[in-house]
Order: sequence, then C-alpha cells, then structure tokens
Amino acid sequence: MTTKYDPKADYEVVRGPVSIKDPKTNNRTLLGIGEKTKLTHLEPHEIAFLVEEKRTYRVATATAGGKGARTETKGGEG
Amino acid sequence: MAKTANATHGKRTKVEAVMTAALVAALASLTTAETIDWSSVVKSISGGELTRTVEKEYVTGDDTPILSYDTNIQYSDIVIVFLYTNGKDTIGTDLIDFGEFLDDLAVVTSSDLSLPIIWSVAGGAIGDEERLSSATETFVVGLTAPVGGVGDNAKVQRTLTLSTSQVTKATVA
Repeated sequence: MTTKYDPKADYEVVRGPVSIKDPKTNNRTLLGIGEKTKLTHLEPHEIAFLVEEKRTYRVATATAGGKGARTETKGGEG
Repeated sequence: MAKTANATHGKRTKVEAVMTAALVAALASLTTAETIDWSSVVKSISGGELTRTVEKEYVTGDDTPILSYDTNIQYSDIVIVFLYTNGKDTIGTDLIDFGEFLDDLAVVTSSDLSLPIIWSVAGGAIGDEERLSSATETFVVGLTAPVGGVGDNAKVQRTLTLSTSQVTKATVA
C-alpha cells in the first residue's frame, strides 16, 4: 500500500518545534506542537518521511466537507 | 527500505546567520534582512551546551542530600571557526565579506545588536535536527584577528564567539 500526501493539505505538528524555511529569504518560522500548516514547500515523499518515519506531523483532522490530505492506492484487494 | 530525503543529503555542517532588520538599520553595509548560509566558510561550530545547577545540601549523618534545583538554565558560548579569503569570499544579497561584517558588528556599542545563528551538524536537510540561538540575545563576545597563510589561496582563519541566552532545538520540516 502506498500513501500519497498532498502538500496543499493541512498538517498538524505533533513533535515540535519544526523549522520551516522560506525559500526566498531563507528565513525560518518555528511551529510548535498543535500548530497546523500546509507543506507546499515539500514533495509528497518528503512529507511521507516526516509523517511516517520522523512522526513530526500528522494529517490534520479534515473539516466537514473538506478534502482529504492523502490518498491511498492499493495493489489489489482479495 | 526506500531512500529518504535525509539519507540522500550531504552531511556538511550547515550554519546560517540571521541578518535582522536591526542589523540592517545599524550597519551601512547591509541593505537586506535575510538569513545567510555561510557554511561555505565555516570550519567548525561548537558550544551552546545547556547547564543547570543543582545544589546538594547534606545534613550530618544523612546519606541523601537535600536537592535544590536552580530554575535558571544557561547555555555555553557558541564558538565558530571560519576560514575565508578576505575580500574575495562574499555571501548573500549584499555580497558580505563576513570578516569585515563581523569587524563592524563587534565594535557597535550604541545598541545591543543580536546576531542569531541557526546551525545543523546533521546537514540541515528535511528531518534533520537544527538549533537556533536566541533571536534577540545572541551577542558577539569575541572575535579573533585573522591568522593567515592557510593553504595556497592564503585563506585566513578567525574565531567568532557568541553569547546567547537561549538555544532552541527544532526539526527541519
């Protein structure tokens, strides 16, 4: 099973603080535990690394009618 | 196991200096507030260790002490050794010569100018640990004169010592 993470979705910091770099000025923003952000500066595989390996973020709880942050593709079902 | 962003990144220590708006206002050579990566000239960075005092009071005859925990946490000075070619290694939007910049900064006494430092000995890639010194209380307390003649390019070596009130650990993410 492969999970794809959407950089435009909201992610919640669960192990912080995290340091997010502005690609233009290189300035950094620190986010603490519980804060939410989009991760448009990251590739889906980098988000997967932070969510699944480092457990730095988790997918923020979707609001009613909101779009999910990840999609799962399965190799096949029995 | 699939390769991660971390596993594919170089491991050179990353050191950045934050050119704050206060620095830009105080130093004529600066026009842009930005964070500058000066890893290319940094030879080593050390310090920023946390220390906290716990006092032990012994009463005669007792084996175990009465402990008094100090709520004050202190951080050791950050020491950065860098190698550069004076006048040739320029960095950032304002083409800063880091030696000249630090010489200017170190002698400013009219205001308390902080030079926040961000560093990651892991390399600063996604998922790596990094540390940030205090944004408002990181002060130059030592700057050695250039020691010359290092290598064929005549690089000079200098040591910058910074005193900081706080070091924050974060994850690059």
